[in-house]
Amino acid sequence: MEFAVSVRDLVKRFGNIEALKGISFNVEKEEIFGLVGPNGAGKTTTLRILATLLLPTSGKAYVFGRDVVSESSEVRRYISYLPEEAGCYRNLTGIEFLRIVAKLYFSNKADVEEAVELGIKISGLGERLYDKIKTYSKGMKRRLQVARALMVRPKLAILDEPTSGLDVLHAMTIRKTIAEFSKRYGTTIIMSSHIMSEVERICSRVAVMNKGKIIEMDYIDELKQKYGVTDLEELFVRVLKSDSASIG
Amino acid sequence: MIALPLVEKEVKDLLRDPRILIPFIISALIMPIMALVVAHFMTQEVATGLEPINLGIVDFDKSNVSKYIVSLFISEKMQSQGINTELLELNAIEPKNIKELISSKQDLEALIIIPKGFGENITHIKRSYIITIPIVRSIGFSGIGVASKAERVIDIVKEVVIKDISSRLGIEPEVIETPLSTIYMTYVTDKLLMGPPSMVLAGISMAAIMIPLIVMVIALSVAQMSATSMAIENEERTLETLLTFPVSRFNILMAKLLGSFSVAIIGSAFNLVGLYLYMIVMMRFMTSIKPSIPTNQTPIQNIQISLPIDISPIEFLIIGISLVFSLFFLSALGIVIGALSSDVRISSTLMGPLSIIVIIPAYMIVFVDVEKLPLFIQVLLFSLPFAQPAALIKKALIANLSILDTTYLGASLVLTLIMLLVVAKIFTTEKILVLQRGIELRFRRRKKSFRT
Repeated sequence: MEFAVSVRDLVKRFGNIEALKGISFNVEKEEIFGLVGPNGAGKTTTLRILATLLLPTSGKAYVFGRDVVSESSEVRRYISYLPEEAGCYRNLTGIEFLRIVAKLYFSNKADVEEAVELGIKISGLGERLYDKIKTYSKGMKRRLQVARALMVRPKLAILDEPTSGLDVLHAMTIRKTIAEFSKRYGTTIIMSSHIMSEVERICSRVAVMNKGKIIEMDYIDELKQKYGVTDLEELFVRVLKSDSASIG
Repeated sequence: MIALPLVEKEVKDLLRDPRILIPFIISALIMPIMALVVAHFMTQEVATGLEPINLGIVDFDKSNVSKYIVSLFISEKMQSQGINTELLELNAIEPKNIKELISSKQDLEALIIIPKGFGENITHIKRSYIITIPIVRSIGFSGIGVASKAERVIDIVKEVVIKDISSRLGIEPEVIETPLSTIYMTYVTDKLLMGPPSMVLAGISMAAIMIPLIVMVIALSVAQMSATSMAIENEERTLETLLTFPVSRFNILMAKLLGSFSVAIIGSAFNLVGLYLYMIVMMRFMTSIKPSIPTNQTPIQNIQISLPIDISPIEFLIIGISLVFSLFFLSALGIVIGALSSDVRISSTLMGPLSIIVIIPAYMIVFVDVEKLPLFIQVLLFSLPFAQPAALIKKALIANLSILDTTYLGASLVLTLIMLLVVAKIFTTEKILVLQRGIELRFRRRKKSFRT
């Protein structure tokens, strides 16, 4: 069976620091997979390798069967990456930004317009899309970025902290959009988040990371049952505690 | 294939950025403004020269000629022309007496002293002299105006003397004034240019210094713009997203280069418009160098009397191609600097030393006789893409470009391609992010050690 994402013994070193210590996991097609863990756990490094921005020190990573190192150009055709602190081009209008990105993914004019229409819908920015991005609030910029990442209907969306810096209402809208989008277009999503309730609502499976390793991975319901907890936050604390105890 | 949407993004983003557009507009406006300021003072000087003057005249000679000159100045005709003359007395032509006289007449602007023997010399058609003292009471442009006013008075005296002599000798006053007209042509290296050597050389030097320097400034501004544009991508965190789009890294690089290049062309056009306006404004105030040729002599044909700049269309083409390579090279260099900088501040700091490396060859080209330099330095100056246009322009101005110079274009092309490959290499791997992080950490450490 071909997985949407397949990671094998992935190691990444930055000088003396080992950011990833041989992690392995698979993400099934059309699945929403969550990476959770404290700061410095290696979530962003994993996502950056999958997005072809970083090279692994050793190990392998595949996206729809394509090697992220040797077949990076093909991989980039399948993915759409939303970094945690994604910026926008301040002097372009929102609509110009969406159209330029759409043109990079599609050569057919109808496909471009279809993607832009979808982007307009996902962003929910209405008339403000015709204003320069430098006039947008942080929340508006994030909504535009989420729209940009999803409107091209990628096979795999890599979302690093998709609701980063958003207020409760905006975060809720974006969460809803991601979940609905995946269901409707069959897009596989791999995302990281600090907000456990967010992961619990969107993702079906999670991998809990700590200090460059995956310390627990399964369906959320299975994990809750295994640890006898009622929510993901409680589960997260329990898993981290037991990991610290085993290291100690 | 080049990712045209990315080129579109580059051009729009750069042109709408006031940090990039405003310097272009300023460069176009500042030059004609400079010309207007200079022209304003020139006009003021001329106008001051025509303003009324309070003239003092002392006649030691008391001859018929001197009396005629005095009566002419005191006449109503002169008063109507703004020359208000007062006949003064002086004990002797000595500095002490002259100073006393001038200080006692505070409104006096010029003093003319006709010494004894003036009339006699003119009667016997001998050289004669008068003493003219323009009175400058303050240092500045008004002082220059006073000198112009005094010149006007001397011209009137000269005219009287010439008319007197010419009528007695029965010859044209113009012959006495200018007995021989000279048409100057100057042969410089292998060009024949119109005008006296001092003027031709001044013109060539001006062009040979100014034009290469302007070209170098434009080239540097292109490097600066590319570096800033790339650093903004890092600062605003857009590069990370850009590198994950389904476009090859080489295409992203080419789009950046073409975007910067297009904007640079617009910027250069602004600069050229500014230069053109400067020349137009200045030309209006420049005196013609056309000599007066006697009517019975054949005038010289086919020699243009203009600024001594003579560059053929083929030379323009060679310089143009060289400029394109140069702009691409410097744009690529700017992109490397910008890509390695996590923000605009770091990119500006890195651009400083780079600018010095670019400026040194430019200064050598402008102020040193390149042909007298050791051969390998000559080859280097003519081959380095960022120095080549300046070297070619200077050579085209003072001599003619040769076949050898077209081979230098090849060298420049190869170096530009090598630079593009290096930049592409940085773009194709994660090096860009790793190197950038390294430079950022180094900057932070330096800042920290500076603080402690």
